[in-house]
Amino acid sequence: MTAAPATGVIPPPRVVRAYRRSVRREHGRGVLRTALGATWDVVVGAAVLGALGAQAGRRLVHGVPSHGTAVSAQTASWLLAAAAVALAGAALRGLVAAGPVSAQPAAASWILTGPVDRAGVLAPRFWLSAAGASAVGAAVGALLPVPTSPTLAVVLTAAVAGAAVAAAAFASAAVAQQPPGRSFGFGGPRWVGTGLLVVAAVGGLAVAVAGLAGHPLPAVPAGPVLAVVAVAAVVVAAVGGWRARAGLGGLDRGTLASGGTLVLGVATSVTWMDTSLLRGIADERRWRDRATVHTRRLRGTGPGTLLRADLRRLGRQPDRVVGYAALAVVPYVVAAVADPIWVAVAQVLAGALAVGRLTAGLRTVSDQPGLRRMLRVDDRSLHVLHTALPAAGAVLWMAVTAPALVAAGDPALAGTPAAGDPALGAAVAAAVGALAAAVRAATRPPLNYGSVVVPDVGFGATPVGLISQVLRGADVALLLAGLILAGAGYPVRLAVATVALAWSLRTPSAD
Amino acid sequence: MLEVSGLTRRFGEHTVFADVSLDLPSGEAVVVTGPNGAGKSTLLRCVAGIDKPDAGRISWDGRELRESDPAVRAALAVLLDDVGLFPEMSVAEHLDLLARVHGVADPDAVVDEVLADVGLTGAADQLPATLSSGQRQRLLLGSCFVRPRQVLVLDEPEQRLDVPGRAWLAQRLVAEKAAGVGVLLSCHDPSLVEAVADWVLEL
Repeated sequence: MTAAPATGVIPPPRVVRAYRRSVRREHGRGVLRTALGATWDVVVGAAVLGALGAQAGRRLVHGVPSHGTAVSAQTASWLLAAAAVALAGAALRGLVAAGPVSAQPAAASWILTGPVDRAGVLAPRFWLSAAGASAVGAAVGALLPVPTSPTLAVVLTAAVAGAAVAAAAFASAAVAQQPPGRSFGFGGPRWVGTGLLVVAAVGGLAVAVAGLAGHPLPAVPAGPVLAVVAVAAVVVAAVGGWRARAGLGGLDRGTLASGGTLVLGVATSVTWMDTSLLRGIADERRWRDRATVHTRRLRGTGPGTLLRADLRRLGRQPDRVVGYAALAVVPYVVAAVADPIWVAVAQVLAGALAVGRLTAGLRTVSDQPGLRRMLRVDDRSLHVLHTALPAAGAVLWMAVTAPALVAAGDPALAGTPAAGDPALGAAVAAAVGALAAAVRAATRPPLNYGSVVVPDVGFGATPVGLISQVLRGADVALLLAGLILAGAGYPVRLAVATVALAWSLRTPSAD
Repeated sequence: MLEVSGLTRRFGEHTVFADVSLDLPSGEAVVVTGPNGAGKSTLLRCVAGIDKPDAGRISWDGRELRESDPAVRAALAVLLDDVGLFPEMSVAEHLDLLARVHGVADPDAVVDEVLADVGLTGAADQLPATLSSGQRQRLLLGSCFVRPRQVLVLDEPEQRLDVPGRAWLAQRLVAEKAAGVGVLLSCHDPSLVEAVADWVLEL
């Protein structure tokens, strides 16, 4: 058999794109309809979450704290500035990790393997993604100052700055994605992102402490700062965008397909509000990049070895530990701006997130029956052993954040007659609650799409199992937060948290 | 001894296999063969306690086999297609952890020996995400050999191994039998069947 000879005519990218569009139209929904449907989903979700966030922010800032001192506008605006810096850092790190220029696996296999001009094929998606990032940045930028009742001019300037920063982050990440020699190094933008996160955490903590101590803060010069940020970001976006576009043809197929898989994971995670798929893909990429470790043998024998191995694995993920520690800032920030009861709520919710950062081992043994089967320990003991590290983390986290409650004069910890909660009891209830929520989330069974469905209430017929599994973990944290707001005493909260923890550990992954 | 009697498994109206019985004494090997879709993997999943048969009984040492029973986990080294790995642990650390959890007396020496045996000494520091499919299969086989065992349950263990690797596997399984380990495996490789099988169960 002989391969057919090439005719010498290679179709230009626009012909390939036109062909794909015609096939889509013929066999399914049109491109425009698909894009509109996806955009509608994102817009509805973003609008709901944005409105909730803005409303909560306004209530927090404008609600008069029960300890009598309304949060100053200066403190609130500095905290929002720290939040903006944190968002920029997180976005930059996320974009660098994802590799913003991607191709769907099918396109990578069937189109990019040919001699078609690769830069031409990728360019429309590149510009569309950059525009999408700018739109999201503009929306976030416009929403962030809302809690401080800003003028229209500030909102518009913030929107422009947000769009420019997002475009700059996208362009920087796209340049970093290019092969060595053509980029300024994968590590550059990632470290910039990390630096922004550190600056935001330290700055936020400093502002919170200053606010709690009653030190006056100068007003944020919002207009000039936003203008400078916008101009600088536009320059970075223009230079980075030009370099990234020029290098599109040099992106290798593996990088593009890998990014496409991640994008698919993001889309699925957003659609189903479940991050497990995205986390799995991101972990795979992270460990592939790491490739090797210095092997260190364990000590001793028997089941206790599992505990030592869990601790060692955590040591290999310093970002998890940093995230765990950084979340301790949250109760202090809330103490600076909100009513004390919200500090207790923030402690439980942020505590659940923080402790969740330590549950990688528990999640692994819970997700993988084949792994459990290899070990000479029953399932329950395996899960209890892998809960020890998060439990220690919960106790430490509550000890570190307890002063925020005291500083805010929170009745739940200060033991005032209003709540009747001795300090230690309330702290134990919070620690067990955070642990219960984190363990319940980590022992979440695989999504069950085959369960009974509830009727269409606006999002289509939804399996009950899907709802319960997506909410698993968050349900406990929210229940405990609700109990705090309802004025329930610590014995009730402790009992609920203990039952939830015991329930999660009884036969994990079985329910 | 592992005993299976009257095992039946159906998926809806489709009967995968019916009334399968086998005994696996120490030091002998039963090899399950058959075309794709014949039910080999499903049979092994049932025997290992991971899938529930519609009828029949599986017992270990005269008691009903429960996969979550630590005694069963200590006795049966199982390699099916659902084996997972800790993403943050190197090849050598996986074997080290298993050896220690199973109470191996001299884990360092045993791990080094198994690493050499499965040909992964050079990949000892690698994380699972970087292993080729053949290396991953060798690591999973190593996970069965690094720990004490009375029975090996292996689903197509020759898959993804190169030609020398298949020859090594045959020798290794013969050695396992000689050491008194019962072997239950499914496979498509006639030479492996010939080298290892005392009994052949064709589905």
